[in-house]
Formats: sequence, structure tokens, C-alpha cells
Amino acid sequence: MMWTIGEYKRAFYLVGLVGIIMCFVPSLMELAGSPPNERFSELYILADHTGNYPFNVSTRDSYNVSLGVGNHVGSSVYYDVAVKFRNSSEALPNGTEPSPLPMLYEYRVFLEDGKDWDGNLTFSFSQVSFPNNVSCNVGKIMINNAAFEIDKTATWDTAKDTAKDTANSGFYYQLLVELWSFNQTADRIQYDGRFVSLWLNMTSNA
Amino acid sequence: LSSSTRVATIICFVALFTAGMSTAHGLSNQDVSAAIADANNSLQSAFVAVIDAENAGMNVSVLISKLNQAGANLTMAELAFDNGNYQEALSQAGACKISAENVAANAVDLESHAPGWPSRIFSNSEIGLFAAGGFVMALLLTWFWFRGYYTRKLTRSLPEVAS
Repeated sequence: MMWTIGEYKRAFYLVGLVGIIMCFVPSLMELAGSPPNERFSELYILADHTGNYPFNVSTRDSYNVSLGVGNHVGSSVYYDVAVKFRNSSEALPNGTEPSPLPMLYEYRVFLEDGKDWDGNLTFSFSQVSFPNNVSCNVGKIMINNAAFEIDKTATWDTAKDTAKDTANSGFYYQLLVELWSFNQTADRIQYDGRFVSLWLNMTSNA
Repeated sequence: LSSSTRVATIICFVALFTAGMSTAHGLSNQDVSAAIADANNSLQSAFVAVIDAENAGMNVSVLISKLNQAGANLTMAELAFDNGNYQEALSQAGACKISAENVAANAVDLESHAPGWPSRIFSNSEIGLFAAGGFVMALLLTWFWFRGYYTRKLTRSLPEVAS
């Protein structure tokens, strides 16, 4: 059945109305604001070019990993990437509280929304001793050529802890990397609730 | 010069040198610590200024890059301070502060040139208005053509009316 001219006219009015509304969608979006997205920050640790994460460490070598931060917060962020060092008996950070250990090395990273940052983390140890072979004391850690006195003692850990990704016993330490960010309301740097870590087994040079 | 004058002169030099060294060392520690704190505050203020410029709709990529350099200076200042290298720490903290203050000034300048949200809406509305005008014109032309076509088709389908 054929439409009458009046029906066609109404159809043209409808198409015109929809078209005009579509033309003003950008203005309406500006008024209403952008739809909310999930907002988060990323923190990651990557192996060196060989693809291996350092695990068995000694004073003989220096070790290298890459750190990365991704900003998906919706605006630029001032991050502070803090490197700490702990033995297995010291407190870990969690989702709300940072580790109480002192920051050894800090990367100050200003990142625009949608951008990533990668930084090198090179570390080595010195003044390491194994008194009676039942404990290990690490006197100094070098991070990116800066020396830090740490004086950390670890006892021989015989537990087969799968969290350490190993079935071996050893003198375990952990390199912690925490993500902090500048809170404009509080006007200070605050813990962001994210951390990554690297388990290290201190061995003798021999 | 007599020997007593020489001895007195040497004693004066040693005393002045010792006093100068202790003063320099004592002041350096406090000065450097204050300089680092000052640089840290400048860095945070600069970042706030950059965020304000960004929120005003300006591109802040260059300023963010400069802030990263200033942040690296501050990290080096703290490391030098921890190692007792006060001269280097003071130098790095000063570099950080100068960079941060420049960034803050540039950010404020950038923000002052930013279009406000009414003009951004107006800009979008102008585009929308032109697009809507073009669309309505095209639709009207199509309508006039279609009306003629429809009438002609209707007339052809009724030969008895035409005769």
C-alpha cells in the first residue's frame, strides 16, 4: 500500500528532527560531561632483556629490572615510586597501608592520562656476611649507583613457601616497590595502595 | 716581618679558616635541608598549576616533561644530601626550584589563555548549528524533489484524470 503525501511529510519531519538532534550531540556532551570510565593506576616490574627476574643474588653481580607506571586516572598524576628493602620478618605493605620501612630510592614521575613510564632499577649488594652460616647480614645496597646502609639480617628459611616461587631454602629478602601519588586535596604525597615486589635469595660468592 | 708577627698571622688564618669551615658545614646542613624542602614545595605547587591548566583544556605535555626533569633534580639533591655532598645537593635543589617555578609561571600563563567552558560549548554549538543548517537545507531540497516526483508518479498512474 502506498503512503500518502501527508505520511511522507511526517516521515521527513521525523528524519529532520533526529538529524538536528544528532548535530547538537557534541554540545550536549559538553554540558553533561564525559561518561565515567574506570580510573586506576598501574605499577609493574619487568625482567631485564634476558627475560629472567633476579632471584639468587650475591655481591658479585649487579642486577637489573624495569619498573613501569601507567596512568588511567583521567588527568595527569604526580607519582612517587618508592623502593624499599625488607627481610622476610618485616612488615609488608597492603592495599591501604604502606610498609613502615624507610624509602631508599624514589622516582618522581609526572604522567599524563593514558601514558606509561618505564624506569631502570639497577641494584647490587656489598658488606654481606654469613655468621656461622645460620644467618645472613646485608650491610649495604646500591640502587642506581646510590649507596644505602641497610644492615638487614635474614635467618635461614627452610619453609617451602610457594609465594616465594621456589621450593629451595635460603636467606630471603624482598625488594619492594610502592606506588605513591600526590593528593591535591591533602596537599601531600600519599600511598596509592599498590606495590610490587621481587623475592631475592642471598647467596655467597663461592 | 718579625717571627712573632708571622706566628700571629698564621694563628689568625687558622682561626678564621676553622671558624669558616665549621660555619660553612653547620649552615650547609640546615640550608641544604631547607633548600630541599623548599624545592619539594615548589615542585608540588608547580604540579597543581599544571593540573589547573590541564583542567582548563590546555595541552600540558611540555610542562609535564619539564616537571619530570625537575623531579629528577630533586631526587639527585636528596641522594647527594644523604651522602653528605651538600654542595651538589644545594645545586640540584636550586635547579629543581628554578625549573618548578618556571613551569608554574608557564602553567598560569597557559591557563589564562584557555577558553572557558561557555566558549567551548559555544564552539561546539556553532559547529552543530552549521551542520544542522546544512542538513535542513539538504532535507528541504530532497523534500521538494520528492514532492514533485510523487505528484508526477501519481498523475501518470491516473490516465483518466489526465485525459
